[in-house]
Amino acid sequence: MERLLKKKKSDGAGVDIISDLPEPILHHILSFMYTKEAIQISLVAKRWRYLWKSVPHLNFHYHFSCKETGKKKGKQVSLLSGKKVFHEDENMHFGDRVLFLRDAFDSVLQLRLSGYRCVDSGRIDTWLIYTLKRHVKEVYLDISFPTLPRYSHQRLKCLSCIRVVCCVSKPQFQCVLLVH
Amino acid sequence: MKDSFNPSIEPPKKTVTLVSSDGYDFEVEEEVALESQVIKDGFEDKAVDDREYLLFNVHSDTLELIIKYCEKHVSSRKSISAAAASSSSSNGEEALKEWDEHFISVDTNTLYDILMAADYLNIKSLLDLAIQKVADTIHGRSPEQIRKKFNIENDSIIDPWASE
Repeated sequence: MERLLKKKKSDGAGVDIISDLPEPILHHILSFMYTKEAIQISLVAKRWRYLWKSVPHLNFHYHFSCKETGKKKGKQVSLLSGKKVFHEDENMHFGDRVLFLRDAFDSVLQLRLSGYRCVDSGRIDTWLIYTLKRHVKEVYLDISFPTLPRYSHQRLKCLSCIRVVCCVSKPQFQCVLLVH
Repeated sequence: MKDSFNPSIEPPKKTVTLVSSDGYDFEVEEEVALESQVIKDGFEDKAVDDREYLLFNVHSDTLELIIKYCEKHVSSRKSISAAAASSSSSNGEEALKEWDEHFISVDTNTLYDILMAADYLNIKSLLDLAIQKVADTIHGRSPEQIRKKFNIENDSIIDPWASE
C-alpha cells in the first residue's frame, strides 16, 4: 500500500519505464514467450540479464530455434550466430543448457515442448525428470516420436496430480491425455 | 461511466467508492469493484456504509480505464450466461476478445499504468491482457529493436551463456 507509484505521466517519451517493472511482472512477461526468446532478451540490458534463469515456465519449440539459426535470415539476432549450419542436435543441446544454467532451486510450473520430431527421446525424458523434481504443475507435450521412452510414458501416466496434455502424433503411440 | 448495463434489475445496486491517488472519487457498482481480488478479499470485513477504498497507487486516468474494463467484463459475462441459458447463439466471447484487444491498444505509458494497476488491484484477466500485449510487442524483435521500442539504455554487452 505504501509503495507509491512515481509519476511519469504525459511526457514519458524517452523514458525507460518497462525496466522499472517489478521482477515478478517481468517474469510473467517472459513466461509468455519461448524460452529462447526469453534468453535473447538478456542481451537487452543488465536488468534483463539473468531474469530468464528463474522464469518458472519452460517453453521449448523445436522449429523455432532451427529456423532462426539454420537459415540465417536477414538480421535476425542469433545466440549462436557464429555457426552457419545449425545441426539438428542443437535443439536438444539448447534444452540441456537451459536446464543446466537456470537457477537450480527455482521451481518449474510449466513445461511446454512443441514441434519436436524424431529426436533424442531419452533427452526429453531427462527434462521431464528435471521438471518433476521442481514440482511442475503443467506439462504440455506436442511431439512426434516413433516411441516415447518407457519411463516417460510411465511417468506421465502416474502424474495424476498435475495437468498433462500429451499429444504424440505417431499413430503407433498411444496418445495420453490426463487432466488433473 | 456508471449504470452501463442492466438498469432494469431491482433493487437498486449497491455501490462502492474508489478514490484515486490524486483524490478523485469514483462510484461504481459493487460487482464491478469485486473484479479486483484485493477489494474482494477485504470486502466482507468492511461495514456496508464504509465501502470506500483509497487506491494510493492508481491515478484517476488509469482508474477510469480500469473501471471501464471491469464494467465491460461484468456486463459481458452476464449477457454470455444469459445467452447460454436461453440457448440462443451468441458470439459474446469473440466480441469481448475483440473489445479487449482494442482496449489494450494504448501507448507504452498507459500500458505501464494499466499493468501496475492490474497488479496492484489483482485483476488477473486484465494483468494477463496487459502482459500479453507487452510480450507481443517484444516478440520477433532483436535486442536492439526492443531497446529502441522501450527506450532501454544498453548498459551491458554480455554472453548470456556465460555463468556469473
